[in-house]
Amino acid sequence: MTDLYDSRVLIVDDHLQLRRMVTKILEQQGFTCLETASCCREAAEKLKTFRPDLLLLDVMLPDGDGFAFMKELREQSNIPVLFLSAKDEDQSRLTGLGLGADDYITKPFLPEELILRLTAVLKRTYFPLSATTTGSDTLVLGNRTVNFESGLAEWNEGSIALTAKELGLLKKLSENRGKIVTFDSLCQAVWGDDYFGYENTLMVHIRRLRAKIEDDPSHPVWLLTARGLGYRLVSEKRNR
Amino acid sequence: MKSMLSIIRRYVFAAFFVIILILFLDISAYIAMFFGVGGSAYGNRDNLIAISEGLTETGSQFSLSPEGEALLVSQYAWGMLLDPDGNAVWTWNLPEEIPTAFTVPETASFTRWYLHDYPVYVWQHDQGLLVLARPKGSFWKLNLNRPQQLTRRLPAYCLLILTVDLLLIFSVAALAGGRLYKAIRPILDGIRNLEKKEEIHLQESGMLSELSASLNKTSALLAEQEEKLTQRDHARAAWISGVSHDIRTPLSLIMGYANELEDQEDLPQTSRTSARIIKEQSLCIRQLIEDLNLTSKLEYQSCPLRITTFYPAALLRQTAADFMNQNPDGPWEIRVTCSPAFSSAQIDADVQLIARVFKNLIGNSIRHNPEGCSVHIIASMTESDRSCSILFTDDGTGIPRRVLRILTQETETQRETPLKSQNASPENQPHIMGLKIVKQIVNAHGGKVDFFPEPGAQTSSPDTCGTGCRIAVTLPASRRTDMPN
Repeated sequence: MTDLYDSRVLIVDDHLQLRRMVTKILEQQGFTCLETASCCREAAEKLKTFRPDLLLLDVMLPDGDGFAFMKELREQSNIPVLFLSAKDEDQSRLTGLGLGADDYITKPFLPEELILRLTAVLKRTYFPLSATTTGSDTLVLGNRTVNFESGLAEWNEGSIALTAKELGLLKKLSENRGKIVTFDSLCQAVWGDDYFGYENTLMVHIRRLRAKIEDDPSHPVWLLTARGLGYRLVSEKRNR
Repeated sequence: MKSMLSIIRRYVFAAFFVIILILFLDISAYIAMFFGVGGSAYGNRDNLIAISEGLTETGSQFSLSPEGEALLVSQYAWGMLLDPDGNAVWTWNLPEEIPTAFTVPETASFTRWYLHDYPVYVWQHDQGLLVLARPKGSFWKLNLNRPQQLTRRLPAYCLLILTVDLLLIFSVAALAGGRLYKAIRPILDGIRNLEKKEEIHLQESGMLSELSASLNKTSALLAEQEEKLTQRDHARAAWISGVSHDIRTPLSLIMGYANELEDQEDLPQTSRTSARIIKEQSLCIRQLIEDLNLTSKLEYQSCPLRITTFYPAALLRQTAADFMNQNPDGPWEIRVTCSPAFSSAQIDADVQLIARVFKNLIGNSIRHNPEGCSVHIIASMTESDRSCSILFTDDGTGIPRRVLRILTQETETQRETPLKSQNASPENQPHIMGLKIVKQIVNAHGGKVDFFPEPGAQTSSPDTCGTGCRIAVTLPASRRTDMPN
């Protein structure tokens, strides 16, 4: 399999209309190898004949439940499994994920949500390199470029080195570019789980970081403060 | 248990004093009887003196004064005067059976006891011995002879006997009280357990066996009713869960196909708008289903809390940031101001449910102000009772009066009748599920929710209570939280 959309997906659900709709959603997204099953017995047969790369599995099936089916499946295969169920209780989620499912989606769901979760699982399993958001080593901020590998912020006239903490903060912000990242998440990313008490230190690091990535640090355009919440790294197209 | 001991103590003292009172009254009655009613017997001496003095010898004849005679007639059956030789020299009303001459031994005998069954009394007269007799069967003669020493010590003996009596009475009362306490104690424990809705099985023996049996029956009845109520609650929660489960698959189809129609560029714009509305409303139904499930589980207490210790400030900021990230171009601004004490405070709570509280309250401001508003969340610690206080405010349209009224009424009646406020004409009720869930979750964590201002406050708007919405959530801080000095 060279392309994500060549992945073979088996949809197991007892509801015919739902099977059809999910198939349609995935086809529209570009998936071509799709197969459906309405019960555990049929799914077991399709596993042998169709050999799917991913299983989209309902929990309540006419001849058994998805959890038991998954348990049996795990004895022979490690293919990723996504539960798609109307059972929304925490216990059901925990059971499904505890059995080794890669995700648990509850009905009703938005098509985008299904696609995002399904492709994320496929990327994680079969295309691990492309799944990382930090694949890119550089971050472009207008006329400045931050190279995470060398740890330098570069521009036409020169460059300046970033400290490990500054790089850590910038990495976290760039992973969530365009979104507000809370003080707590930033502190946790840099100082680990025992991050409490570093809020003031964080402010100092952000001020120094701005001095290195902003043209006018007192009027930042890239690294903005979300009052009372955290910071946001503005996405490039927004600043154009 | 302390009150029970006090009751028993009072009972013992009351019993003790009642017995003492009865004894005192009895003794008084005996004394009154002897010296009052029977006093005439002791007045005998005066009578004898008066009659003796009234009996005088005139020549060889004896005569009795009128006073003496009156006394004789009224009190005595007969009378005689014996000369020193034992011969009767004066008689009055003497029966035939009584001799008129007595020897010394005969005289000595009757002076102390009876003469032919007549209680007789003697008195020394100048001419001999005056003998007077009362009617037969009218008096009981008691001759009391006791050693002089004993008589002298009699008061001390009486006091000793009285003390022993008191001790005895007190011991008996205490023993009876103790037994009563022992018998009542398991019953009292049983009643306390009944209060806690625990089933009891008391031993049906002893002095309070009937009471124990009644309590056992009551307990069984209550347990049966509790079981039925629990079953009914579970059935109701299961029914809601089942119905919502059955709705989920059709709703998936509605949402999926509406989404597809919305994305079809060859469809007219009006149709695509309709599809978008269908999708949005389906999302509302999804939210309602989740709310309904959660509220029923919280109401019937079938939703166990997964308590962990965490920083509410971090959760609050994350929830607010999530809202801002979902609507980066929205007309809303969310600001969070946490005091240093709140930022360092932890709470013991179900993190998912508390996140739901924050989400519902911020979402409430966003949803009801589509034109935009500024949401300001101010979090601090109350030093008096170590609680986290989080005030959600916005400058939007505010909470409708009706909603506020229902929510405040529910606050007052929720514990007693959680469903009553909803039962009253549900079609007229505004949709307050989100805020109701907030209250349920916060209450389940031992906190409280306050809605401001109070309904009825004077404002310019007839439908809403002032500018913006103000809802305060108070949650108890974890014991691990150190309060600032």
